[in-house]
Amino acid sequence: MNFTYQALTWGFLLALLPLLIHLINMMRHKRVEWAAMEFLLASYKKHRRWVWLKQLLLLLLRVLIIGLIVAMLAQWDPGKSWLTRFGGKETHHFILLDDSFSMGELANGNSAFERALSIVGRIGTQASERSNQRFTLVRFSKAGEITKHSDENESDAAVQAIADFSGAFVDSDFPGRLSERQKDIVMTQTDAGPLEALQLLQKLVAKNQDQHRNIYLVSDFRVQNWENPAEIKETLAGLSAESEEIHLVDCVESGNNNLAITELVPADDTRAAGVPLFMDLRVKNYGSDTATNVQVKMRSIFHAKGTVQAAESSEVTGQIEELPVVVFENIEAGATVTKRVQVFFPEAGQHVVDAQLPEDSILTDNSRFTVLDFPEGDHVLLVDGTSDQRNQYFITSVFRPSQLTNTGIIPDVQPVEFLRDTPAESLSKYSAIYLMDVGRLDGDAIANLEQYVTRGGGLAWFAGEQIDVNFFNENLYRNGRGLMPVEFAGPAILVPPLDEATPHLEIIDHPIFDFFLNERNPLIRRVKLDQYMQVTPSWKPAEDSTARVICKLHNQQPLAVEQQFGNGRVACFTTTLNPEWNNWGQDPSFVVVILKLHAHLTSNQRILDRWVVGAELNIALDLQQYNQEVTIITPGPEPTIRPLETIQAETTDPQSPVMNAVFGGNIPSATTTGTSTSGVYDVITQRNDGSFEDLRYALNVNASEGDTRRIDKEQLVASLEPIAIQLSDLDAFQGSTSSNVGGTASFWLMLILLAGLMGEQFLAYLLSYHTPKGGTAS
Amino acid sequence: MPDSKRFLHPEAIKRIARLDLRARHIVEGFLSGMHRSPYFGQSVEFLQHREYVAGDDLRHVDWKVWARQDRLYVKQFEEDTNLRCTMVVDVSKSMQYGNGAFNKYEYAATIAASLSYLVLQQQDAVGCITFDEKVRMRIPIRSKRNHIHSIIESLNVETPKDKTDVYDVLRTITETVPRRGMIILVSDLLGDIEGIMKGLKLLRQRGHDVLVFHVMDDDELDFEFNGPMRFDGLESEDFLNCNPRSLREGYLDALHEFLDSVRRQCAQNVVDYALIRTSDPLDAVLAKYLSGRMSVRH
Repeated sequence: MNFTYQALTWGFLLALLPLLIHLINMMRHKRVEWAAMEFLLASYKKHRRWVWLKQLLLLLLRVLIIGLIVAMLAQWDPGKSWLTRFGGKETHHFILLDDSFSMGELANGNSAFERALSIVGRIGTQASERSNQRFTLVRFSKAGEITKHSDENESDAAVQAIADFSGAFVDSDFPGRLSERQKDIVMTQTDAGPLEALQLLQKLVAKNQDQHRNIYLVSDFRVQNWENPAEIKETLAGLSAESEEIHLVDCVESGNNNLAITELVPADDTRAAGVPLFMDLRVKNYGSDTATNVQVKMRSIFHAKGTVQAAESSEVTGQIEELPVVVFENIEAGATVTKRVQVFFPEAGQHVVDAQLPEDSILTDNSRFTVLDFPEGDHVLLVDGTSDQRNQYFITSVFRPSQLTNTGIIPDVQPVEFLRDTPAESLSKYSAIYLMDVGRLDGDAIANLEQYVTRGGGLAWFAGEQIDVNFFNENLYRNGRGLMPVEFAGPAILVPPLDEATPHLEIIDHPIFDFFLNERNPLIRRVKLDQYMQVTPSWKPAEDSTARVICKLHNQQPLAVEQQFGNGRVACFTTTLNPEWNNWGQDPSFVVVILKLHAHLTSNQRILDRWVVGAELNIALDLQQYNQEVTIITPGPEPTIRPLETIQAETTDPQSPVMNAVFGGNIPSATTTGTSTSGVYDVITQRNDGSFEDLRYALNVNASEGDTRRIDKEQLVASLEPIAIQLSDLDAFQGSTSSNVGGTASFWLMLILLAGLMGEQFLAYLLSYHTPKGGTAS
Repeated sequence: MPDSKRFLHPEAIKRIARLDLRARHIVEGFLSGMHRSPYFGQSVEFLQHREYVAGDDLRHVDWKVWARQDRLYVKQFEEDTNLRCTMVVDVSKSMQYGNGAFNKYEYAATIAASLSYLVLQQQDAVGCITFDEKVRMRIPIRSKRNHIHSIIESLNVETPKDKTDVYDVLRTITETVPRRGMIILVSDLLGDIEGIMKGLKLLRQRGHDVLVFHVMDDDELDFEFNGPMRFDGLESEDFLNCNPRSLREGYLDALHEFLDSVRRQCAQNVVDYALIRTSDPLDAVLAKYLSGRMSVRH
C-alpha cells in the first residue's frame, strides 16, 4: 500500500482505541442493584449471541472507521486495480521537461527554463484541483540516461530513479511537494533533445493502459530539433494513438541573439614545449543580427609537470596568463568566424586554454576549454640512403635550423640497418620516419615499418638515384597492398613547360600545400624540377584505396602521393629531397612544405580529445603501480575553490593488470554531479611510492545547442500532421481540457466512511450507547 | 389535577417525613376530594358473643350473660367492626429498589399506612404483617384510632432480608388469621410466582377477600437504561454486565409475560389485582382500595 504521508500511517495504531475503550468500559460499568434480575437474565439468555455479534460488529466498524480516517489523512494511494474495481479511471499527466541549456535563453529577466517550471507547476496545481490524477515528470537529460543505460527489465526501477515524479498520486498537497521538488530541478548543460524523452514516454504510456493519458512536452522548439522531425513525428504518432491529449508548450518568449564559441582547437602544427602554438577560436552568431566588436577573453593556464603534492584543488590551479583579448569585428548572422591566437608553454605538460564570450541570451555556450598535451619534443627518425648523407643535411636544417630556433622537432639520424635491427615497439617513440633515397630495405625493416605505420606512425619517402624500382614495386608497393601508394616506372626527365610563367608544380588543396593555393604565396613558383620518378601508366589509386595524389607536376605526373596505412600515414615524393633532381631544397617554400609535411604525418597522433558535458571519464591505471583512490577535482567558481570527489578504481577482470576509475557519464547518481558541468576536470592519482600525478580533461557543451533559431509554429504543426497536437505558448497554455473521470480513492473512502459512521450509529443505538432525548433512567 | 390531589403525588408526600402524618395527609386529602362517602354509618352492627379470652378488654365483657350463665362473654356488636383488614407488606430487599421519589418499600409502606388510617377512620379494624422470607412483624387487627401507630412502627424495617417467600408467608397468615377479612398484599411479587398464586389461592379458600397491590418501579416496568451497566441482583448473587438497550426488548417480554400471568391467575382466583407504579399518585391506590372494598360489600 502506498501512502503520501507515510508518517501518518502510525495513526493506524489508533484503530486499537475502540478495543481499548471497550475493554475499559467492561471494567467500569455503572453498577445498579436490581430487583428484577429474573427477567433480565431471561432476556440475556435469549439474546446473548445476537448481542455479542452486534458488539463485535460495532467494534470492528469503529476500528474500520478509524482506519479509514487515517487512510484518508495519510492520502492512501490504492493503486489502479482498486480503482478499476469501482469503475473509475485515472488521468495521468506525463510531462517531459526540456532541461537542455538552450532553455537558459533569457528574456525579460527570466529564462525559458524558469517559465517551463512555472508551467509544470501550473499543470500540477490543475491536477490537484481534480480527483484521481497521477503525475509523471521526466527531464530530457534524464530520459537520455535511461535509454542508454537501462534494458527493458530494469526500466521501471530506472524510471523511478531518474524521474522527478513517476506516477505520483496527486492530492491537495501535491502542489507543495511539486514546488519543493522544483527547487532541486536545475537546467543542465546538455544538448538533450526531445526524441529520447518521447521514446521513453512511449514505453511508459504503454505500461499504463488503464488510464487517461495527457502528454505535455515543455520545450523551446528549436530548429535543430524540429526542422526535420521524422523520428519525433513517428514517436508522437505512436503516443497520439495511446493518449488523449498531446500538448506542446513553448516556453520561449521571443527569439534572441546568441553567440557561441564553437571551437577552441590547436592548429595542426607540431606541438612541443617551448614552441608557440596557434589556436583556432571559432565563434558562431546564432542570432538574426550581425554581431560587431565581439571581444573574447582568453587565458592560458600553465601546469608544470610533477608539482602536485596532494589531492587538493589548490595543487592544480596552474599559472594563469591572461591572453590579449580577441576581437571579432563582424560576425554575420548565422556565420562562423575563426581567429587564430598564439599560445606558448615553456615546458611539457597538460596545459589549458580557455575562452570566454561576453554575456548574451544564453550563457552556457559562452565558454570553451581546451587541454593541450605538450610533449618535450617531437622525435623523428631520418634515414638517408646516400653515402654523403646529403638529404639529411637539408631536412635537419629545417628541423633544427639553429641553436636558438626551436621547431619542437628532434631529429635522429640513423643508418638503413637501424630499421632492420629496431623492433616496431622501439620505433614508436618517433612521431615520423623519413626515408630519403633509400634504395633497398631488408625484409625485417619493411615489416617493422609496416607495423610502425599501422600503429599510427608517419612515414615520408623521397625518391633518389639509389632507388631500385623493381624492389620498390615488389616490396613496398605490392600491387597497392604495400606501404607505398604508387608503382614506379622509373626515373624520368621533367620537360619544362613551354610557358616560362607556368610553375612546375600544380598545387592541390591539401593541408601540406594549401598554404600556396590562390597565389597567396608565390614562392612555390620558383621551384624547378629536372627529374622525377615516373609512375607506371597503368597506375591509378584503387577505389577502395586511400591513396591520393596531393601534388602534381605540370605534366600531371604526381609529385606527392599519400595513403592511409593502418592508423598511420605515408607520403611518397617522386623527387629527391636534396637539390639533386630539383632546386626545392634551396627554395624558402621547402621549409614550409617539410614542416607542413611533418605536421600532417603526425596529425593522427595529435587528435584532440573532445569531451562533451556528461561524458564518462575512464581512467585506466596500472594495478601494480597506483593506489585505487582517484581524486577528481571538478570545475568550480574559483581555481582554488573547486568541488572535490573521490572515486575508487576497480578491476572488472581479475586477470587484468589494469584497473579503471570511471567518473561521470550518464549513470544516474544522487551523490555526485558527475561531468554535468563544462570546464576542466583534474584527475589526481597517487602512485604506490606516494607521488602524485595529474591528468586533466576539458569538457565542453555542444555549441550547436545554442542555436536560438526557433521553428515556425505553422511549419511545426504542418510537419506533424495528422497528429492531433495542441501547440501553445506560455500565456495561452490552459492545461488539460479533459474533466475528471471516475471517482477517486478519497471519494470512495469518504463513501465507505459515511456508511461506516451510519452503521456505527445504528449499531451503537441498538446497543444502547445513545442517550434518548428526555434523559436516562440509569 | 384538583388542588387537593396535587398534594397526593409521591414527590409531595415525600416531604412529609413521619409516616403517620403522611398517611393522615393522604387519606384526608383523598376524602376531601370525594363528594360522598358511601360507607358512612355501616360500621356499627351486632355480630355475636364471643367467649372471653385473656387479653380481651374487660370493658367488653357482657356481665349480664355472666350473671345468668356464669361464663364470660364479650359483646362484639357494639365495638367490633364489620371489616377486618390485614395489611401484608413485603419488606424484602427487592423492595428497596427505586429511582424516583419513593423506593418500592417506602411506597408500599406509605400505601399500607394510608389504607390503615383510612380503615381506622371508618371504624374498621386493621392489622399489619410485614414479611420477607418469613413474617417479620405482626400487628394484630384492631380498630382503635391510635392503632395506627403500632402499624406504622411495624412498617419501619431497617434491615431487610434478601429473599421473598410469599407462599410461606401467606400460608402462615391463613393459619393466624382465621376470621374472614380483607387481606391486602403490598409487594413487588418478585419471587416464585407459583408459590405466590398458591398462597393467594389459599387465602381465598379461607374466605378472605384479597387485594394485591403490585408495586413496581418505573425502571422495572420501562427498563429505560442506557450505557454499559452492571446489574447486581438484590435478592440473589447474580450479576450481569450488559448494554441494557440490547436486552430491553427481551426483558420487557419476560416482564409482561410475568405480569400477564399474575393478572390472569389473580382473576382466576378472584383476587383484586392492581399494578402500581411508584410514580403513581397515592390516592389512586386508595381509589383502588375503595373499589375493592365496594366489591366486598356487594
